[in-house]
Amino acid sequence: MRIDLNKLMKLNKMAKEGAQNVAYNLSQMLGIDVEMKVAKIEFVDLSDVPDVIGDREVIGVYLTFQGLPSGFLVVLFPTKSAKKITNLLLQGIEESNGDGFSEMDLSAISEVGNIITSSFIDGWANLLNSEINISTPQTVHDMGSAVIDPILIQIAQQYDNAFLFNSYIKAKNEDINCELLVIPELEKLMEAIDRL
Amino acid sequence: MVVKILVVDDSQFMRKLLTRILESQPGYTIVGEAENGVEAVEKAKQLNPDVIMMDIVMPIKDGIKATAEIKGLGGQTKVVMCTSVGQEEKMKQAIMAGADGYITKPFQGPKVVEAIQGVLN
Repeated sequence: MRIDLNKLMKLNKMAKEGAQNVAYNLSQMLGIDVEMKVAKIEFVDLSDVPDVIGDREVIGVYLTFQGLPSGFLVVLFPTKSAKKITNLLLQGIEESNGDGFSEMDLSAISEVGNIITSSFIDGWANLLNSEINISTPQTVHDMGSAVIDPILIQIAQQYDNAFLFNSYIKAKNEDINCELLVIPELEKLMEAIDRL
Repeated sequence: MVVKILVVDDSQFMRKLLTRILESQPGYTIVGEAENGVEAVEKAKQLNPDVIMMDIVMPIKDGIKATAEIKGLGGQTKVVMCTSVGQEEKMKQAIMAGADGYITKPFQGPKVVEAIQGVLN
């Protein structure tokens, strides 16, 4: 499927709105200035997603969203970026656990993933003046394929394509990389984009 | 009067964060923590808190069912639901189950205090 330039421009606007909402809510959570930028958007076949994600260790947080539009959203943090998040969040709460991830580290990353995924979709809902309900985010710490494959198996019958929003978050001079993988019901997404 | 708070959340980090926010404020004391709805009901009976900060989605028993049970006990405990954006449907169910107020994540100290004072007044 091809997406025309006008629709891509509108999708870019949705991504910016989602990222701004994420930055605002993370800033509230951390009590410091946070910036989030979407550096690149890729439109890929679902079958190509594992190759695009690669097989590195990541922490993934995923949820489903229902409304206009509907679909799946996964945020993936490379472990180095996940560690930067825990260092920011757990200052004064718990000592750093070296390079590994304690139960508290994973709990903190899960909450950040929760804020990012729900804020990103909420940014879309605000822009589209639409009601979008989201499921409770789930967290997985594993190799990229082990995080993505079970999700793809669940949804391969219903979905054909995915958008990958390659993003970075800047907080307290730390650059945190993350990838947002949106697997939409494409017809509903196009209907939503046409509203803009 | 010191307000007795029970913090209920399956996230260890969120329990710690809420505890840290409230312990830095005068007039509040954390009397206990619970990580699911079953523990929440038990601790509500044992500790008789003034306010419960209750997460909605938890394993074993969710915050909505726990709130309904706690309200069914007939005490004076107020329940503040803690929710994420985009969970309006669950919030409606929680209000129908007897929740007295709500707060949306991410939490900030002043908003937490405001939510607690809102249900106590």
